[in-house]
Amino acid sequence: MNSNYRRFLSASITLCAAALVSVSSAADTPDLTHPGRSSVYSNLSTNSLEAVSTPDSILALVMAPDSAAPTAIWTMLEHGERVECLSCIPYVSKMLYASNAKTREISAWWLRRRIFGVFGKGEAYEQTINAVSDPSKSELTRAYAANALGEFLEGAGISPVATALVKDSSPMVRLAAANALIRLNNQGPNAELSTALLDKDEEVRLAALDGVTHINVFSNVDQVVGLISDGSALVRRRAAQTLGALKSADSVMGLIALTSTDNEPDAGVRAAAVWALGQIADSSARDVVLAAQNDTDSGVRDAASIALRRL
Amino acid sequence: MARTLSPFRTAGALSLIAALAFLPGCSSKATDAGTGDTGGNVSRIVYAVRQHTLVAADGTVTIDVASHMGQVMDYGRYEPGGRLEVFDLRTSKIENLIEDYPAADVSSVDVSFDGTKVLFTMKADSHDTYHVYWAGVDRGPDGKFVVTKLTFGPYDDQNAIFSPGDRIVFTTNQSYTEMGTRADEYNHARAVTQLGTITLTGGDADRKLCSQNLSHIVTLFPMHDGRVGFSRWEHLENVNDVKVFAMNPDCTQIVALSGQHGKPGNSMVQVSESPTNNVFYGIVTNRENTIQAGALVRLDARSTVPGLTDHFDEEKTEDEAYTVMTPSVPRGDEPSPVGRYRSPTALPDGRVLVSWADGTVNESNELSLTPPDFGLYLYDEATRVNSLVVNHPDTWELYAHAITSRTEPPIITSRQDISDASVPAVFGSINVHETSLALRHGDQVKGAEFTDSTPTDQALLKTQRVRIIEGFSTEGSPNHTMFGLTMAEGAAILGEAKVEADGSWLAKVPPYVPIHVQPIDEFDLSIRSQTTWMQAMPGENRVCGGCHEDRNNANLPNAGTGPLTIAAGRGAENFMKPIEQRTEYPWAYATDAANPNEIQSLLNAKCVSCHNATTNGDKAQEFYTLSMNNAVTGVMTNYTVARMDLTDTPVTVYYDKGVAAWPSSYVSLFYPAAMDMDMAKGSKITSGTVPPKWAIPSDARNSILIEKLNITSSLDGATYAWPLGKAFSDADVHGSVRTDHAKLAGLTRDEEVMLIRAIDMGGQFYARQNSDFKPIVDADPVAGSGTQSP
Repeated sequence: MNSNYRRFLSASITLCAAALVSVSSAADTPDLTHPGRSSVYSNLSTNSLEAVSTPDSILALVMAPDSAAPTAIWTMLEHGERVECLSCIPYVSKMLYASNAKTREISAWWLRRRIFGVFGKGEAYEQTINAVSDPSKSELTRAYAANALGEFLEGAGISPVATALVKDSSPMVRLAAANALIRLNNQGPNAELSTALLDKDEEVRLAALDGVTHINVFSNVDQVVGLISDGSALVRRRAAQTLGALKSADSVMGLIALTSTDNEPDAGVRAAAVWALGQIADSSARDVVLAAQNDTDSGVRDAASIALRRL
Repeated sequence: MARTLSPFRTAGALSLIAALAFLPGCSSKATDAGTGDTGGNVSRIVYAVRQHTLVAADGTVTIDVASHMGQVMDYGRYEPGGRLEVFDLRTSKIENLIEDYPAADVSSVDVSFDGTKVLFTMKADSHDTYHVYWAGVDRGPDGKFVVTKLTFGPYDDQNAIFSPGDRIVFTTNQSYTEMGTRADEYNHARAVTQLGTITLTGGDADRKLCSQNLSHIVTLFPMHDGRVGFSRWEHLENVNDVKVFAMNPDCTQIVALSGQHGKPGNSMVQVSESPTNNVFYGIVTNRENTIQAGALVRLDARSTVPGLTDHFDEEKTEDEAYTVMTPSVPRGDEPSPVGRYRSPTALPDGRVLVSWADGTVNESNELSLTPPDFGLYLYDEATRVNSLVVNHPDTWELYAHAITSRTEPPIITSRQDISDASVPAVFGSINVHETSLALRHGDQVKGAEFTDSTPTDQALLKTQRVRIIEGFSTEGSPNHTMFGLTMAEGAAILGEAKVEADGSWLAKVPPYVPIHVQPIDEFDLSIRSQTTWMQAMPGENRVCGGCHEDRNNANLPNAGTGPLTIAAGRGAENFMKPIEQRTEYPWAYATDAANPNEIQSLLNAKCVSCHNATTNGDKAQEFYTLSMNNAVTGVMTNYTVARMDLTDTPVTVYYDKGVAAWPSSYVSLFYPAAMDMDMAKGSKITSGTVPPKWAIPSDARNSILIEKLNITSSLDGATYAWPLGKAFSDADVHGSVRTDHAKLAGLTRDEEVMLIRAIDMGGQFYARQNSDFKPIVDADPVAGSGTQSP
């Protein structure tokens, strides 16, 4: 913090006297952007092209990940998208269980781009599949395994994470599984994402609601309508927003009920319901939206004035 | 990344805030402080205060530097306790416009042209998403600031700016494609931010969504001529940077503004226009690792052509257009000796209001307990001196704007008011032979008939058709790990438009979707693959002068003799097709087993009898071996790849859990180029030799497989792309001289074209036609509604 003090108390900073540094070392580094690529890219500035990590640089970093800043690891793997480094795979596989969420995510992202060493028998992907459903593993490990299966974006992960979503006893694992299903762009083989809308844990229900508007196809809008009467105001708010985004005509009556302070004490929920009614544009909602213009909360009034333009 | 501090240090830091609240008035800029005027009659500024240090209920202190700031286009950052402050430069009085939102965070700020309203994007609490608001800059009669919310949906609306006529343009990650949320495969399949518009009075009721890009759009800025400028992440296979674009406020006419032909770093972001038209300030930095901060640059995009000086010239090179105002500040991600800058805006007197933080300002901040401390400063370009305006310790002060009226740009009359995705957009060229790529940028083409490097303008004279390729991302290929051994996105051919004698072409294509084009020659080979995405709204006309024609040359010498081009007179070719009818080349495992475009079926029918696991032509199959030494377990694993095994024998197998295998054909053909990408192939091969680069993604012209097969001209069956009897361009090809190998193998010309297209489109393994993708039917793609096809 001392440096902060010094920084702050320095009211005027002259930059021109600062030592010049080499701002680009591109001239000293080998061309790692053009080999193996379309010749069209040789016409472009290297500043426009993907800089490429080397296998050695990746290996050095992933062998000792604790010695590097997480963003340095992220960058190294990010720019190693198509870099083949078989020796790196075992180390990167361990990073699927790193404490930093984005390190876990990028590790899976890099691994899923491998032709060799990840998806073979007994290799990293199979180990991850097994981990998510292994009750002997800690809930943290199972949750991270679910995270990883979501990031692998591989269809084989759908079934195990869907099962974890409805069967695992840990809310942490179920939450990770819900998010994994969303990443996999799938509601589960037995519509497990719909089942999760009724999960006893609020965070899981909210995650499942997020999935409704983010996966390619969600087939059980009725289940979302049911959440209008959820005990959690956060869930009711997100359910109303979701129904508005889906333009769900079947939800109009329920949403109308949410616009009144008599029925709904939370102003955020009332505002979301009024906005949703405007999105659905069913004229039967016009009177309640008109009434919402007199709500005590300015956010509800804002939503009402906007919704009325569509009713 | 979060790190923890002791409660003691936090208490010290918090007490510092109060102690230093008076400091701005004590800054060294005595003249400004004395007059209460930092420049051009500006007496108040507005900015966001963003938190990076949080104190939990139990006293635990958490410092978060880089999360959702790791890349310059990341947009998800939320830390509670943000403020929207108005700072009176005369009195040093600070007021918080969002005092009723204690858990909020603010991600962008703009000021109305009349200087009475602040437009901002705010996430009110941790379970909210970012929405667009405006607030009055003065308290109302009730003593409160009026805060009005304009958008409400379950998605993030950010980077909002005013546009003339009370229109507001912003970015959103709202889902609205026929394929679900557009998810950038390169950016870990994250939801992509696109452009949208609302009005100040109508908010979401007037919501309009613009045509789409495959990657994020960030940091919008108003332009003097009424257009909207923005930075856009351009990821098209190997291109990976952030450039500057402009658009009409009705979402039409998206054009490149700068960065296509050189810029002083990978990403040009946080741009704002100076008082001089078409001169901009911005930040140039690495795409990631710099906490969205970098060097301050001036971009002079003004055309130097007499009569066009009020136009910008996107073709300017780095040297012609850019001045690095802070040469000591790195433009990569290395530690800075003098800090880094963010979000510059010009004051009326020409000085620049910036956010600046001392120190290295990169990922190494994560390893210390000293997050960068962005405060607000005036930067004087002449002296390169920062003068402190306001800086709170332990928060970031960002996105500052002067609260002052300024001339409202002219309203560009909206010509586009259709959101019906069934109404096509029209693309075309007046004369595809017109290009500035060779003359101004030294662009050349090599391969096949262009035996020596040929200037692109000469090569384009060979254009027969223009191939229009739709790009899609993970949303189009769900449940698969990547598109293959390529950095290219998913691709489908919408059509190949005929180029007429005058060089013109014209085609109707689906609106909203990103496309790029390839002029193709008589051998169906791409002459050049456009490296920028284009897109258009329903009913929009996007006819260009040529193939990257000189933007300063209004007179096209070969534009035809009449008022219409031949293509226009003939009428646009219709490439409006539903997704399932677009031409894709799934490499293997097509969802429809009878798919005539599956590459593996072609190989099975015509190639595998000679190129299989045991034989390769008239020789025994050869192999090379890669080894993985698992230093964690001590196990050594070998992976063997055939020189050219074109069967569908699985290379990677995970039978019982259903992971799709890579067929040997795909790995044999594309792995050599993939190996060459990392410049280290010798270090990993434990036996055998890597064969020639049979297939190079997006480059059939230089792919040895196509040269080996050879192909005849579509105009003259006796003319070959590669002259017969001559040596191959790679001496390692069996047979030593070129033949008509396709004829020997029994491939028809159309079948060869399949292979050429599959390579020129990017060499993807996956398409929508061999993934779990199912199009949504009865869809309103803009609304994102509809049901899945059975």
